[in-house]
Amino acid sequence: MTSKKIVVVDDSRTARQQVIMALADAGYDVIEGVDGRDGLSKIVSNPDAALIICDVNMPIMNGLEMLNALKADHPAIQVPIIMVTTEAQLELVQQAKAAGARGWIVKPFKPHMLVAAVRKLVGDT
Amino acid sequence: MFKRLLQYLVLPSQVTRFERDYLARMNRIALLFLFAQVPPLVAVAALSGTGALKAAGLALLTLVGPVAAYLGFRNPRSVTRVFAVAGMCLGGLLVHFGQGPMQIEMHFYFFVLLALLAVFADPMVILIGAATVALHHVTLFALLPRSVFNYDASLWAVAVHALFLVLESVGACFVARSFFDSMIGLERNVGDRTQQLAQRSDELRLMLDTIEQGVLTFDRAGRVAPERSAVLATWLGPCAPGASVWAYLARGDARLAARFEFGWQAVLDDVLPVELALDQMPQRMVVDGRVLELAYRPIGASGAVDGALLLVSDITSRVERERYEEENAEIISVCERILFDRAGFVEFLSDADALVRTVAAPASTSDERRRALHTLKGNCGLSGLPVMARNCHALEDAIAEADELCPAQVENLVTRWRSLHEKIIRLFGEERRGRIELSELEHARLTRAVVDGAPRAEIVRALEGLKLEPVDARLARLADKARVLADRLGKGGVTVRVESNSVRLARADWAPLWSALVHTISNALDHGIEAPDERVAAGKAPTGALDLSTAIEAGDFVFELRDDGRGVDWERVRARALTRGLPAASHEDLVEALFSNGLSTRDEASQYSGRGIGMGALRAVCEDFGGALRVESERGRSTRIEVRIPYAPAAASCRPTFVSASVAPRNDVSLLSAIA
Repeated sequence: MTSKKIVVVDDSRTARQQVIMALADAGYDVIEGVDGRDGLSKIVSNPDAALIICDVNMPIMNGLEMLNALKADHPAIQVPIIMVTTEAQLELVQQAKAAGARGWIVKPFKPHMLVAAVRKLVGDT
Repeated sequence: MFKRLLQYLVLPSQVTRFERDYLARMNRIALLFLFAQVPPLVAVAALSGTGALKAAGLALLTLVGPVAAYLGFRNPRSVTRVFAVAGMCLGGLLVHFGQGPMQIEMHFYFFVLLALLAVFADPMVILIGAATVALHHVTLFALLPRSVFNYDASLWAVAVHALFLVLESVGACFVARSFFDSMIGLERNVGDRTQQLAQRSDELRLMLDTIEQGVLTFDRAGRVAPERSAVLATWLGPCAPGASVWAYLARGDARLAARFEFGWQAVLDDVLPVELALDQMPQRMVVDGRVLELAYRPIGASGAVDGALLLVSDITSRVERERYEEENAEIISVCERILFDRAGFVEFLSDADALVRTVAAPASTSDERRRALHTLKGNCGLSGLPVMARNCHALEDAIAEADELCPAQVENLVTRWRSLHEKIIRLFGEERRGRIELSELEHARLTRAVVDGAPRAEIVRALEGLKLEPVDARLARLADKARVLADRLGKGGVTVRVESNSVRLARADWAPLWSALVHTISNALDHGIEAPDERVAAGKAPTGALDLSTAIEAGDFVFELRDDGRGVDWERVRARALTRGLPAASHEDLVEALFSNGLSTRDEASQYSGRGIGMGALRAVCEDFGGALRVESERGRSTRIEVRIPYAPAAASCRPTFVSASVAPRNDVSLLSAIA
C-alpha cells in the first residue's frame, strides 16, 4: 500500500520542517508548498492527496485566499483542509471555517497531537 | 433457622407513612366487606332453617370487635389482625348456620378468606386467621361436631382440613411477605436511599465548597451545571441559571467568549481529536489581576462528548514567583554586565529606555515601532536581558502575523521594562550620566601638565577633550558584542580586528549610530560569515574575520565594516525586492532594497537578526546624519559596508554638537603625548 499524501503549505521553512518530520515519521508522504500560490498548484497537481495542512499568514496568497481560490477554481477537489494559526487569529480562522476548512491547529503544536489529528482526518485510526 | 423464620413472619416494627395510609384504606374496605357478609349469612341460615334471627344477632355481635378495633387501635396492623379473627368467626357462623347438604361447601369460605388476607401484606394476619380456624375446628369437633361436619367425621377428616389450611397458610404468608417487601417496604427503601443520596450530595457540596480549585461541568450547549465549586463565585461572581460557560467565564469580554465558543464548537465538530480540540480552548485568563489556568476534561461515554469538566486554578502566585525568579536572574546578569563594562551598560540603559518609549508612544508609526522593537531586542539580548529580548521577539512576531500590536502586550513590555529599570537604578544609583572616566595614565599626564606649567589654553583644551569619547572603547565594545554573538551563532572564534585611527566623538550625539551598527554586525555574523564546515569547503580558514575601523577622511567620519564571508547574494535580494514590489533594475536599486525595512534574504528570523530591520536602521541613522552608505561585495569572498558622515557639516543648526568636538581629537592626543 502506498502511503497517503499530505500537502503542507507554509511560508516558514522551519514550520514546514516541523510538520514534515512529524508526518514522515508517522509514515505519510508530504508535499510542500512555500506560499499560497505554490500550495494551490501543488494541490491541483496532487488531487489524490488525503489532507491539506495550510498556514494562515503567508505572502503572495494567504491561507484564506488560497482556500477561496481552490473552492472557486477547482470545485472538484474535495480534499479536507486544516488551518495552522496563532492564537491571535480567531477571525481569520472563523472565515476559513466558513470557507470550508475542517479544523484548525494552534501554533506551536505538539507533534504527537498533529499526528493524532492527521490520523483522525484521513481515517487512519 | 428458627430466627430467620421468625424474622420472615414478623414484620419490622416500624410502620411507614406509606404502609399506614395503605392499611387505613384497606381496613376501611375490609370493615365494609365484613358487614357485607351479614346478609348472605342470614340468608343461608334462613334457607337452611337454622334460625335467621339468631344468625344475624351472632354475626353483628362478632362485628363489635372489628368496629371497636377500627375506632380504637392506633396501629393499623392491630386492626387488621382483629379483622382476621372476626372474619374467621363469621366463617364459623356460616358453617354452623349452613348445616345441611351444603355444609361442607361452606368451608370454602375459610380458604377464600385466608387467601384474601394476603392483601394486608402481613404474614402474622394469615397466621392469626389460620389459628382461629384451627381453634374453631378443634373446639367444635370436640364439643359440637355438627356445627362443623354434616357427617360423622373421623379425626382424619379434621387432619385433612388442617393440612389444606397449613398449605394455604404457607402460600399466603409468602404472598403477604413478598407483597410487603416489594411494595410496602419499597417506600422505606426509597426513603433510605434518598437519605443516603442526600448525605452523599451534602458531602459533595462540602467538597465543592471547600476545594481551592474551580470545578464546573457544562453540557454540549455549553450550559453550566448548577453543581460547581464555591470558589468560582469568588473569582468570577455568580453564574446566572442556564448561562453558558463562555458567557460566565468571559464576563462581558465578547472576544474571549467567542474564542471559548468557537473552541468548544471545534470539540463538537469531532474533526480533530477531542484531546487536541480541548487543548486549543483558552488555557489562561486574567480576571481582576488574578491569573487563572483552565483545563478541560471531556465527559461522555465511549468517545461521545456530552459535555466537559472545567478545572480552574489560580496560578497568580506561581506566575509571580516565576517572574520574580526570571527578574532576579536578569538582575544578576545585569550586575555582571555592569562590572564588565559600566559605561556601556549605562548607555544601553538610556538607549533602551528611549526605545521602549518609542514602542509605547501612540504617535509612533508602525515602522518606527518595528525598528525600535528590533533594536531593543538586539540590545537586550546582548546586554544580558534575555526575557526582555524574548518579549520583544514575541511582539515582533505579533506584528509580523497580524501587522498590529496588541496593547496588552505593549503594556506588558513597558511594565516589565519600568520595573527592571527601577530596580537597576535602585541598585546602581542615579549618578550614571555625566560621568567622565579617566584612566590612571591620562590622570598622570594631566597632573604632569599642570605641575610642569603647560600653557593654560592647552590644559583647558585637554580637559575639554576628556568630555569627548575615544571611539576605541566603542569599537572594543562592538568587538566584544561581535564575539559573544558569534559564539551564540555557532561561529565561535571569529577574529575581530579594530582600528580607531584615534578618532574621538561626542558621546551622546553619536549614540544612535553605535546602536545601529550592532545590527549591522549581527547581520554580518549571521548572514555573511559562513558556518565553519561551509568555510572549509570553500577553501577558507574555518573561522571568519571581521574588521571594524573608523577614520576621518576628507572631512568625513568613515566607519567601515568588512567581513570575509559569503558576500551578498544579489540575485536573492533582487528576488525579494521583486516580491515586495521594490525596484530592482540597477545595482543602486538593489542596495536600496537591501537597506529597506522588512527585507531579509532569510526565510526565518532568528533571535539575533533576519527581519531586514538591521540594515534599515543603519540607513535611517545615516540619513538622519546626512551621510551615505556603500556596500561592496565580492561573491563568496567578502562584504564591505561603509558609512560616511560629514564630520563638519555646514548646517550646524540641525546637526548635533559634534561639530565643535570634531576639532579636538588630534590636538588633544598630541597635547597629551607632548606632555608625556
